Amino acid sequence: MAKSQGSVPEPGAGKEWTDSLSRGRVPGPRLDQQRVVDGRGPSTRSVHAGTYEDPGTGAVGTPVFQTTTFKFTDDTYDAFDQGHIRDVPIYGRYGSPNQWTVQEKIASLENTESALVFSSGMAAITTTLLALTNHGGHIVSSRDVYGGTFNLLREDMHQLGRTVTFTDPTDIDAVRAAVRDETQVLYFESLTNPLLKAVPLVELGKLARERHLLLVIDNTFLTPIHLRPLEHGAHLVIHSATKYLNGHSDVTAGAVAGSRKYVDRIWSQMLKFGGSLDAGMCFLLERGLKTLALRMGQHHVNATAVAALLDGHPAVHRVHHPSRPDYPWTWLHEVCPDGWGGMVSFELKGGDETAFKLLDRLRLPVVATSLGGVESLVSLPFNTSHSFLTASQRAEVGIAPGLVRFSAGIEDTEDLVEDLEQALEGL
Amino acid sequence: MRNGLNITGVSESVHEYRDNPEEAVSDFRVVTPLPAPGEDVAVSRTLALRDGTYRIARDFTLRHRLTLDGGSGAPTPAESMLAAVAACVLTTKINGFTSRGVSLNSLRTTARARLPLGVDGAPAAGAVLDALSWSTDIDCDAPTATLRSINELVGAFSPNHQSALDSSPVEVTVTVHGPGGSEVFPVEWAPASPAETDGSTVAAEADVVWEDGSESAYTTSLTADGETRTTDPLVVDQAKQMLGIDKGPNSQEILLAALTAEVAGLLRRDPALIPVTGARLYGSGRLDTRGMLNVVREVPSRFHDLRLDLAVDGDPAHGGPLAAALGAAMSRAVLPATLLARLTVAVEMTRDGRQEVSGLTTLAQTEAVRDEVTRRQLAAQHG
Repeated sequence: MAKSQGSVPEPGAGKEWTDSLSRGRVPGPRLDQQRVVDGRGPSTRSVHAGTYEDPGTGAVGTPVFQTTTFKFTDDTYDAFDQGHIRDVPIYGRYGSPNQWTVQEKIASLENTESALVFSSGMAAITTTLLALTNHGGHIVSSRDVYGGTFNLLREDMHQLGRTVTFTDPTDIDAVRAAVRDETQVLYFESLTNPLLKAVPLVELGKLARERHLLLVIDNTFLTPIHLRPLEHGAHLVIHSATKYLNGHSDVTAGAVAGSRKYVDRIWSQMLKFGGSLDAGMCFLLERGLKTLALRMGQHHVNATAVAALLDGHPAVHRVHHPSRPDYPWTWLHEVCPDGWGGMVSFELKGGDETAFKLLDRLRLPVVATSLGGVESLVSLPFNTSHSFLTASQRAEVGIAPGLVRFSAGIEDTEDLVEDLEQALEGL
Repeated sequence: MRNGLNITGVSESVHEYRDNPEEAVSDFRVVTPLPAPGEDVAVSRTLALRDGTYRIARDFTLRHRLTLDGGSGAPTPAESMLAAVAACVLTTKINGFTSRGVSLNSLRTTARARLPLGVDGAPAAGAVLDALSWSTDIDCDAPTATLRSINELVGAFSPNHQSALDSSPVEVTVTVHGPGGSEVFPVEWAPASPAETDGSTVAAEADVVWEDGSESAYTTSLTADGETRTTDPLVVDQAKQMLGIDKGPNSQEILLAALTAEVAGLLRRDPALIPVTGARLYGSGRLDTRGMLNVVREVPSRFHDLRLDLAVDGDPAHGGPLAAALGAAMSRAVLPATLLARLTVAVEMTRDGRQEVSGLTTLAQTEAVRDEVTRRQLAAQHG
């Protein structure tokens, strides 16, 4: 192993002017030993894309390169000299075969050139937003984004010389009106937490191109199995890989994917901020990703069954799920017709007190934060993910008393439904 | 990275612009609110620039002294124009030497010119900066032939140097934002005819010292009657998306700020401004990087498509008088006249106190250089 695929600029006496330089951008970084799987189905990509095929042992799975540093070669020195250090194994934070393996798998699933993994979803979001904006820049986002993201946007961005406008993410006219001369990024979640509002992705993509903005979409809830935002106008897609991508509630990680041009910039920012993912976590994330397509199918089936049970139940006031007839954001069905992941939210008639009772009665789902794992999880947004909002702010974004967030796992559907039925009984 | 410059990034841009020309076009902008009649300084702000298909926020303030003998320590517009030329030359040299694999120990470019004065002691109306020259002092191990080659190519590819060599007209408008909408008034202008002068001039200079990558520090000075006023150090850099670190305005923005500041200073006392409010002068210009990188021979390497727009709030009926006032200010200004003229620029490169290169650059000579480079490269590509 020496370096990834792609040429180097080769500066030198023979290069009269800059137009003689040799290197153009290539997908990756990719090593020659990695499997490249394009033009196949999502399950095939989940299993095979990016796998490092060890020439020495023939190992079927990617070995764990548990090392922080790599032996220098002429390629290393060239990379230091010329700047293409993302393409050469040098140091764990710069990049490693395990990072490249899982990054190639994510890039393949997103059908794009490059991906970058981080030590958390927030590391991915922070690094991406700061890489793509400059001092004096402006971001348009929404109060509906994940609480950690909202706190970053509200509490820290102004200290870093960026301003943020929060809009209704489902109202393209409101988003358009928020764009200013110095706006650089539109940042939204494809499906919001916890009300599953769908952003008008295609319209946002058109707006971004009209106004020369970058559209960044957090697609944690839907994953590339259900939706690939880059195919609908987004420039970059972000994931909390802690959730569905890994899927086993045992890895904290983040990812961003898009064209090599933009991901290289984010990588350069990551070098300075830290937040890289170590080899062991990369190995677990790669393993989790291999079953992504299978898991997402079952998450979707279970969430849809739960939503059907809840809709019309006498204890339930309202169900938030794309499968329900009153779901307002029908454009979601056009861009992802095959499923919407495992999230369901619902409002109990008895308010937050009744919601606490429900949580006490449930036997299978675990009362815990996070989502996207193989096990069902349940929590109340008002005292967890959205506790940073005042009651009136929660009402403004639609979080009503008694709202329950349910992350359907991959258990047998009938068991989940039966457990929920018994818990709702008599509430 | 050699010389602090990511030459891989330069190389990738070259190939990207071949495939996607729209990504090569950058539109720079600044705005200068018209200073009050009693103020000695114009304060310009850089505005978001469009770089290919996305925007880059730019958050820098540039100050200019509006009179030669004013109390401010800020540079005059003429000094900043020299800084813009010198910084652009220096940055282009960093790219050129790094492409050749040359490691630089130090690099410094000094631009000089003489500013003709009128009988009132102010810059002569419509005068052109005289005897423009730049000199680069270099410390590196490259052979003299490489220094000569790079110096020649920089003359052909430095956008601001090319703007001085070629005629770079400034298109001017007035936009009146009224209650019923906005109305645009074109402005006709030409440099004022040479007035009676006593032939006196002041010497202007800009000294740009390379720090790392695209970052440099610069000072400017003005010498009159044996007395020299030198500014504190200022910073010039590129946006991080253009392989800089966002440390300061770039050389195109410095040029635009100098241009708007000079015209704003000449216009600010005009009675045509009395009935309107919020007068601010926008300056803009375009860089098609395919020219600077020689990706496409036909694309000019100069900073071009220069525009000034005076925006005011008021009744569109005031647009005509404002256009006349702005045209008069443009005619009196030195920088628009200098940009409009085709100049000959003396260039020099020294090493260890020894002159390695010297000569005159003209548009015809630099165009011939581009033709020859392109011919050689095409020949090499075709075996």
